[in-house]
Amino acid sequence: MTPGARGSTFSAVLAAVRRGQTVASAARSLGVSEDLAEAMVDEARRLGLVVSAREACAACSGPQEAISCLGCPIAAGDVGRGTTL
Amino acid sequence: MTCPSCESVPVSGPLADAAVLLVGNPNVGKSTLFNALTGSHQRAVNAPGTTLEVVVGTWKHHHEKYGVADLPGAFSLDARSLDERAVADALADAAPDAIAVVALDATALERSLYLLAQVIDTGRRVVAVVTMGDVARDRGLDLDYGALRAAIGVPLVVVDPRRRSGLDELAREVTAAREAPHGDVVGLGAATEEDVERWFAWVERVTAVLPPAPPRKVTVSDRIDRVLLHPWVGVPVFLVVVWGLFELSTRVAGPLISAIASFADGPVSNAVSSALGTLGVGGGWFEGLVVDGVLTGLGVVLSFMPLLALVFLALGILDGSGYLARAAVVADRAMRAIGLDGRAMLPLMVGFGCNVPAIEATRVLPRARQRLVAGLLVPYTSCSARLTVYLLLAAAFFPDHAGTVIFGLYLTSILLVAVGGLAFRRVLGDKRSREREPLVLVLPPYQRPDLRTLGHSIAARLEGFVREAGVVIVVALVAMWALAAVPVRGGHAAGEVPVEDSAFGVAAQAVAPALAPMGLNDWHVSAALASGFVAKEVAVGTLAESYAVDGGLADGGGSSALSERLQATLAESSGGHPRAAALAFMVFALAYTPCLATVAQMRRSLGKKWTLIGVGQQLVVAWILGVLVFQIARLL
Repeated sequence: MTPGARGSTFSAVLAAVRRGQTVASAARSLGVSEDLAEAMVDEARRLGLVVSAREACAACSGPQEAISCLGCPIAAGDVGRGTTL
Repeated sequence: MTCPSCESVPVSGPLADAAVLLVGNPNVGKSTLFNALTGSHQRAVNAPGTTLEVVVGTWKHHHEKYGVADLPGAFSLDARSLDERAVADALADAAPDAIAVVALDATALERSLYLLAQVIDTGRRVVAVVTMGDVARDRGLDLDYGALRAAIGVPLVVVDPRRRSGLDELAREVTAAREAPHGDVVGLGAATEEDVERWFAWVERVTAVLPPAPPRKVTVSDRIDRVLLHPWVGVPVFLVVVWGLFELSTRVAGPLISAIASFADGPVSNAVSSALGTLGVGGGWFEGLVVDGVLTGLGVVLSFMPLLALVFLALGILDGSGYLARAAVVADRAMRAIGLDGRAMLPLMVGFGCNVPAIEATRVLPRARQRLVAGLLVPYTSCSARLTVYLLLAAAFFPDHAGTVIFGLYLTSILLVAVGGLAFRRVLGDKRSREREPLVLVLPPYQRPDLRTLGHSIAARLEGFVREAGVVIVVALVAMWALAAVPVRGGHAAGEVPVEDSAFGVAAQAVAPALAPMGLNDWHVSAALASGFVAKEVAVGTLAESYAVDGGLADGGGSSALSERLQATLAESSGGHPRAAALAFMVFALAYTPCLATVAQMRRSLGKKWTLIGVGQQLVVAWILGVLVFQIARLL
């Protein structure tokens, strides 16, 4: 298991996500279950350490629903939006 | 990131009196267990201070009777929703001798154990129950419950509420726990990173006794990411993909634009003129306003709808596939390499859609200096409104390479952001490089974009363009037409004034010489750029209208006639270098103030002083860039 900056699996998962790995890919490379990695990223999100692509477009929600907000460039990956590869 | 809108409220009433608090993740089978325990002895109450319903009931077992509260499903006690707030409050405030019965999903044990770790940390006595054991068995998960019981250090019971198995043992464990001495119960408060690491470390120690999960297969997403997120391959591949999409879009759209423009210029204009004649208002100033003013301007802008649709389709494919989120990660590395905070990438990426919400999004940055720098940079991100200007000029002056020219403008936009970021940091003295944080974006897996979703997105964006831009364009063009009817010299009557003697013409002519170093010393151009302050779509409409009132467009108007007039204008204003002047026009349109809405948003976010500075430096940068581009390009 690859240690993170602080030596814990939690920080290792965050480091992998920071490098641009998906959560599933991070779980596989670290040898932990995807469920555990998902839980870790979810908690990191609560702490404000990571942001999901959808959350990143939060500024486009609400009264500022302008033309291009309908296509916030990084709002990809809505669950069930398409077929996951 | 705790739930911002859910305040803690002291627990009271049936919840405070409950002897058993049922806790667990959503869909863990907790309510099935609750029904098995309480039967028909249950009722719904509101969680304190909320309209959230919590079901309470009575569990009768032999001679014992326990009040049971079925708390809402929660993943964590670091509350992010009203449900989780209610659970955290109930665990902190219920009677100290109440037992927390924590349901563990045998098919998703780690998540359940994380919540269990938090509940144990409250100091409340805990009994763990494993649910979904039959589902886990069906999935081939062979859990060693004895080892699990020993590892977690609290009583553990395996239950199957549907078959009522394990309920007697659960009753015994709850009774024993209630009779055991209890210590202080505390609320956890906001979790820290250290807390989270400690809880997950405990989860890992517990799950170490269980058989390892089967290795996960490498997915297509993983394989694609190996290439696209590679530091040296990712950026070139991204640039080639974006260039290809722009090139394809502009090539395919050409014939469509001509077809729609011909329809708008011919049948539609004629029909409107006939209708006005029938109504008795044809032939005069009103027909001039409607046909030469509004209809001409709006028609030209709307003739770009097919091209906008194709560009939106291209961007929608990139967006919906999850690729643009990768681009943000790759760009983040580049931004940090030149010393900018990675988190500034979020508003900047949003800015390529629309600058207004992008400036709003700068609020995610933690320090005022970072927000200021990002807020000053956002207007340099090329929003989709500027596309109409690019499309008109690129198609008119570079018909065989329109996509490449537009792609180049987007590259210029990125370059402006990068150079501007470095300059602002130097000027504003942001030297705290150690505080620069990376953008930690949770990437979604790649997806095959859903055609229906994509279609809806394109339709909505086009509708938004017509609705929002349309209103602004019509109002601006009517105002411009009115100014063109007001004589300021030459002694003409109102409404019968040559445009060069009108208020509009005189003002535009006064500004035009400032554009001479860019090869744009022409009042039609200066009027278009001035109206672009309102919104960039208006600039194209203004061009069309200014030519329409100034002797009309060939064949009644339309984008092709407008292109011809524009080519002639720039050929004259640039001294025979119309393409160089067109490039300068586009670069100027890219760099100067995007629109009034952006200025208003800057005023709200950055304050009056920095808004004035921002607008001023955008104009200066746009002018310098335009001059450089023209002077260099005319030598080539």
